[in-house]
Amino acid sequence: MTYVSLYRRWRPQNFDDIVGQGHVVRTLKNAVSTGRISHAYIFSGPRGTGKTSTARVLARALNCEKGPTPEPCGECRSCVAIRDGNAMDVIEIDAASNRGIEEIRDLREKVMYAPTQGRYKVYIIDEAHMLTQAASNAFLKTLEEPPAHVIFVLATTEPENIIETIRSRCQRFDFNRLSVPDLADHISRVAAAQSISIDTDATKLIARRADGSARDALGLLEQASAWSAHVTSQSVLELLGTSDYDTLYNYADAARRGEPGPLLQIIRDVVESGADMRQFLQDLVIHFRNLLVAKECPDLPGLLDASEAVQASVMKQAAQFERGRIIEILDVLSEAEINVRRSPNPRLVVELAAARICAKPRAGGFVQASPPEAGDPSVPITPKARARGKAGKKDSRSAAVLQDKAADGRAVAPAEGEHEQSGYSGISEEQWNEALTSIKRVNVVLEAFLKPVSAVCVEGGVARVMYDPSWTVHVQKASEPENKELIASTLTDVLGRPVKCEIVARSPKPKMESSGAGASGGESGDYSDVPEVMKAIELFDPVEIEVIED
Amino acid sequence: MHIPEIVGQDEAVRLLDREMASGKMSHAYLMWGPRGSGKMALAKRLALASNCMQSAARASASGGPESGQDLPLWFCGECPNCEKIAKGIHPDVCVVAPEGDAIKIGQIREMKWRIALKPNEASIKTWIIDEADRMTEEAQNCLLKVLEEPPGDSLIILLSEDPGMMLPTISSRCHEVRLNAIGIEELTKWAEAEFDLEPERAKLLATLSEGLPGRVATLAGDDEYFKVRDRIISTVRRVALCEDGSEALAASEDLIDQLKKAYAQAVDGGGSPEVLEISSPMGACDLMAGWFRDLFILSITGDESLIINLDHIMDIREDAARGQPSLFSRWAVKAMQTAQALRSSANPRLAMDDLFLNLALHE
Repeated sequence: MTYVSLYRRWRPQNFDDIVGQGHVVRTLKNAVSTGRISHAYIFSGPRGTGKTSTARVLARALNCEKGPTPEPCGECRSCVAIRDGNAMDVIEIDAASNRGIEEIRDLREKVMYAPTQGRYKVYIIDEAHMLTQAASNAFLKTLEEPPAHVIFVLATTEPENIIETIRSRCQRFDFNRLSVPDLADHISRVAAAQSISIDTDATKLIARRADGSARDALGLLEQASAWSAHVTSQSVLELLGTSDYDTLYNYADAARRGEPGPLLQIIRDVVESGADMRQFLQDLVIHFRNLLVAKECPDLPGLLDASEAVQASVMKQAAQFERGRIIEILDVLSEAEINVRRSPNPRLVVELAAARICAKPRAGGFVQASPPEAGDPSVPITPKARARGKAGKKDSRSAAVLQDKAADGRAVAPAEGEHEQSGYSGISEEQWNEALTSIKRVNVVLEAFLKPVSAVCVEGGVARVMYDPSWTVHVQKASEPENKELIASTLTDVLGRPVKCEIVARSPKPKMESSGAGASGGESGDYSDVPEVMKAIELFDPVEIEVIED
Repeated sequence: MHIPEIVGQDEAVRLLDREMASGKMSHAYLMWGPRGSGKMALAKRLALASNCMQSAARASASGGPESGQDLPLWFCGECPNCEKIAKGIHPDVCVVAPEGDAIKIGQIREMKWRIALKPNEASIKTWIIDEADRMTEEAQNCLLKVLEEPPGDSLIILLSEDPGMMLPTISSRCHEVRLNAIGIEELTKWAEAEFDLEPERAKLLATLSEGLPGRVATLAGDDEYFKVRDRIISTVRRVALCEDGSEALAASEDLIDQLKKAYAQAVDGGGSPEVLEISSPMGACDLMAGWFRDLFILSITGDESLIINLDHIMDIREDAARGQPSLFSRWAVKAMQTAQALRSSANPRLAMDDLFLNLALHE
């Protein structure tokens, strides 16, 4: 192919072309001009920051016929040969392919011979982190004291994977990710030289998306220039497959209002248009990050990852949001972004994330993404459901329907229903949990027995700890004098006033009846009329049953 | 002669066409998109277009990139190059695919050695690395240098479902070409015409396949898939809210047995990848997650246009009335988690028992 990719054509040819690595360039230039050249270097840094290119420039500087000079001429035989990649004295080794001890032994032998044309033989060992352990060790002696005419440059993206004894024998230069302004400058310079017409906005966008890598930036520029004759931020966004800004805006709007319907419809539209769900999530995260930035520091539009055209609209939307809400949504979305990578059903992940976003503003809303914890006393229905067993089968099903009707499909109803049932009066839920925690420290078993407590009520120096009557064994255990004593003393500590303790087995209003008038009467919620369950309690240690519940 | 057909993917095709027309083709491409989106077809098409003996003459005759009303990535289909590539016997178009689980360093070394040779007949040697994300770390590193500066006359195309699994240094060396799922509407029309289906059926396939033409093509003639699917759905419907632990456990055992049989049958009888997928326990769990998702969505929005399992709309309506959105979403999450656990080698029987007990006793 006659065409050579931009990023290959625009490899820096001398030190001044190297973008954004001022600290490296200055040191190397000074080293060359004062003649204090080390025999071994490690160039490390992320992809596309100029490690291999700098190594080649160094080789040119050292071998230039007019040198060694920090400004290689680019015209002499040596410079041209290095540029074209056919210089005899600059040997580029792909350590990832030639990573064994044999290759290094071979290298050791060849190192002895003097250079054919230039002053130095420069070995550029790329991807040096892939050398095997044995090869690295075989290399040590040569690396420490090579012949005077040899210079090694090891280039790597993972310096931590190079053994320490190699690292200590080399001068190490860390290449940084390129900053957005540096990259943007570089892009516009290349674009001007290649007569690609490009907007400043698009330049910045490419620079941001390249994530600090010059190679990525030029690759994108190249594709964008093929995609459309005049490169605009719009055409770059098209190329990247970024979601439409309006979609993101509408999503954020619906998320703010917590309406699942519109959110799910937006997701459907995105799916049906064929967009990639991962990309969509990523774009959403970027959008909400922008909202957060706009909310936190409205004076710094430079921090936004958004084109100038939409910045005003981002600001406006951010003003409608509460800060905590944005963070909440970002949390949910970022988690979904991780999950979606592994999921074979990305749409479901995105939809459930939407559902969670809508559930969040009302605490304990309609979606519990993970099953409720057994330690949470606001969920007393679990054992009951199990206890119903065969006996209540028919009835409970019809009851479930009724309950649903009563709730009228409204999201909040069940949460409220549950809340009513597990009342705390005279003591807050936090205080009770605190008490449980300190009881656990003294007596783990007792704490386990206290987990299913349905209500706690402190009145006039008496704390009534209430169980659903089905928890017979628990009531018995908790009622033992020393246990009552412990509960009382703990509660006294927590509440800061003396209380006595009473254990009460009380039937709360059956759940079904509270919501659905006329529900069947078969719902006593009591173990005692279900012989199988009573038997199970006799047979098994109830503490263990509790643990399985977890 | 079989010419690889590319359904949808207009943008990807147009991008490549424009790069080619303006002479800005890269030496390395990373084509990525979900399974069944047509990555291999696109890679072959690119090989065809860049090697067709007629296309260069044609491009210069029609006078530049913008004037041609030709099909993008045009090729004649008649010259020896086209014919051989289409048949998959061209000596200069090679495919590297995982050997066993992974693409190993040996395979990449061999490729590097062979890519250094001059092409036999083609103008551009094309190397397609399928499922590139399954290269071992050594193989990926080994590829880096040649991917950055391959010998002239060569083109390396990486195909991947999940490019995030590869080193960033790999994707940074390639032009990325993204393949999307295609719009449900477009896909429905295509399926109708291509497989001669009823509109409703076509819409169902398009929705079930999440917009991936490759999957539609497999599903179109795949009765076995739908048999297994119906079996799973009816089991789930029977178990959900039945309030009976022993019945749930029996159903779980029964379903696992049936899945095993279906799987074995599919393996023996050369069943489609879709059947293999759905008759594995994780595939079944994914299906269940989708089912509960439908229940959830319908019960919370009442909007039937959001449903995926369109053919079971009556059942979904009926089931959705039996419970609460919170319950369904919990089930969906549970089914998804179960699938994930199974993918990390959980015991299928235990995982399924657990899931079914959850459904039956709606905890």
